[in-house]
Amino acid sequence: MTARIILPPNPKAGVKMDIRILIQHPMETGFRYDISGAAIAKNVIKSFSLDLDGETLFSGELGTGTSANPFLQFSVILPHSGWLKLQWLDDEGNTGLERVLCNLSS
Amino acid sequence: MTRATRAWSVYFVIYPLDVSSFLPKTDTMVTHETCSGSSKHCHPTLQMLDRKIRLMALNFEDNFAHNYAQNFALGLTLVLVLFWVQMATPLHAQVLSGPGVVPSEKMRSGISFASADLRATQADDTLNPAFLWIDQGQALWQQGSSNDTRAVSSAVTNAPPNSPPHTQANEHPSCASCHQDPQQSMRGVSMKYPRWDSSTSRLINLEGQINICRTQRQHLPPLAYESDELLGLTALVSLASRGLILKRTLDDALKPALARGQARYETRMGQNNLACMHCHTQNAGQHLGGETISQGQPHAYPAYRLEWQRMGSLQKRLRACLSGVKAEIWPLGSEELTELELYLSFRGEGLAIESPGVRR
Amino acid sequence: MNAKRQQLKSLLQLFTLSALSRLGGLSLMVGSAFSVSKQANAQALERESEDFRVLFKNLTQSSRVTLERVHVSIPRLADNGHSVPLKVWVDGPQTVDDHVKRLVVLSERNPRPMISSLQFSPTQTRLEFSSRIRLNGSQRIWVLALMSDDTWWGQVASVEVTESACLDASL
Repeated sequence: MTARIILPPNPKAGVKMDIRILIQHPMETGFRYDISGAAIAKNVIKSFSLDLDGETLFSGELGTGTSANPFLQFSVILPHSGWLKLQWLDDEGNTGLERVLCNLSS
Repeated sequence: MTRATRAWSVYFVIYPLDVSSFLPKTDTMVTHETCSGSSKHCHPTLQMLDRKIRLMALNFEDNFAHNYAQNFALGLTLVLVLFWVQMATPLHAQVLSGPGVVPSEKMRSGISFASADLRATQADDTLNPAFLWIDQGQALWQQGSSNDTRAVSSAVTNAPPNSPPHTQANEHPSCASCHQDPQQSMRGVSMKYPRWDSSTSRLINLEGQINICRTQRQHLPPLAYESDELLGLTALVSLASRGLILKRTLDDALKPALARGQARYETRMGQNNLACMHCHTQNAGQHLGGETISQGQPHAYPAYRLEWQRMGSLQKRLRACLSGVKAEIWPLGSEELTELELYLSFRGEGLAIESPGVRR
Repeated sequence: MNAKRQQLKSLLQLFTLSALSRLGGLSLMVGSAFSVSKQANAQALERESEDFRVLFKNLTQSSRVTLERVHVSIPRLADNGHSVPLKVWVDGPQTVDDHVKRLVVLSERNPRPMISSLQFSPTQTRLEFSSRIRLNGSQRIWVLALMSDDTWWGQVASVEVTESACLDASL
């Protein structure tokens, strides 16, 4: 399962920027059936968090109402440069981690 | 006679034409000295006018007639050459004809039938979910196998000096070891597929070629159709051709398969008793339910489809159509589907490659 | 003794949720003293809850939701119910004194009405959030924002979702 944290090309200190997150995950609802008629088990990303050097910027609980391969975008003014770390946990207990270094220019 | 031959023959007729032969000759003119009596030629004014007209005719003949013909022929040649050049490089494959073909001026990408949101998603690589697969494809391109997490170069440098020649890395070379950067080496490659493989006498599409490389050159097990790994690699290879105009070359070996593919496109099938052309050629742009029917073009595949909530190959999309008309759904990698892929690639010539696309 | 009583209480709450009528099963849960596991249970129950009206009431604790400040942009006609792009923005800079603590997206007709529940820190800029959601048919969606002063603000939007013309049964 891969994920992408996408930052603008030249992030500047004190300027609003959009952070885009894409996580590869089927977000299986539990309402679908396979070819034999058996229900496919529910497995969604139930919680995630995005932090900057340990301080949480943005976190949340998702459910079956979020599309597969969840896309999340939010705007922020980053207080300083640092490592943006995305973590998530799904129903099966799998955890995911993706990091990207954000260097703000002034 | 082809259009080019016609163009050239017109040139060869016009250029040598001596237009001056159609103008009156001086030796047929009558001079005023020969008039007498009540003949209208004896009238002085008329004679003067007559002379003036004849002088103008002579003047024209001497100075302009022959040059005029040549200038005209030159201009016409230029027009014909330009016309011929344009005709010699058709937008649409001249090899294809039949009821399934869309005229080249009417060719439209599926994205032009889509909503603004979908167009925005495809246009922006940071929004396009297909790039999650391309990231996977990039990682797999560098690695020897999906299980081998060491990069090839580090494995080689870490090997002790007297290690046996067949190390793990050498046994399973990565794609990168032969092809280096896919954006350079794979440019234009995806649109050469499906191709005819004379050694095995069968049609090979891009997925088949990747598996040939995997089994014969990398000594790794083949990747399953629609697996994330295979989709990642086909998406990565197709991305290298993004923006190029789809252009195919018809070899003789491809002709029978192309004919079969075309026949399938034009044949009614399934419980709904519809051929592909009934929706995608004859009714493209019309509505089916709440959706607009596209032309069924292949240039955006492999694509992320909202209906599947994942990426899929062109063959997966064709299977969805077979399901839609309630026909027998041919297996992935079957000759039937590959031949249809071949026909669609010729039918879709002239469109710019959009892979990885985003579709409903 | 106290811990055991609390444990029994939470078990009872779990039991009554399934058996009780609309009136107050979850509010007991929400109002009780929190431990980490109880909060996780609360979130899980909210996520799994199948009744929009109960969920709405319990989230907002029946307090007033003002339909201002929150803006929602969602296509009027969705391409496909599996993925509908949603954009939310809330007026006002997200300062420490005045920011959105929690943003909740609810669906009136999905089998699980809770689409997402997000927590924000003061980001010093106008809150803008985008995502792609699933909608089970034409319906209204609600976006509710809980501000740092514990007031609820929100917006509602209608979306038409049609069935796919050719259902893909090819798997």
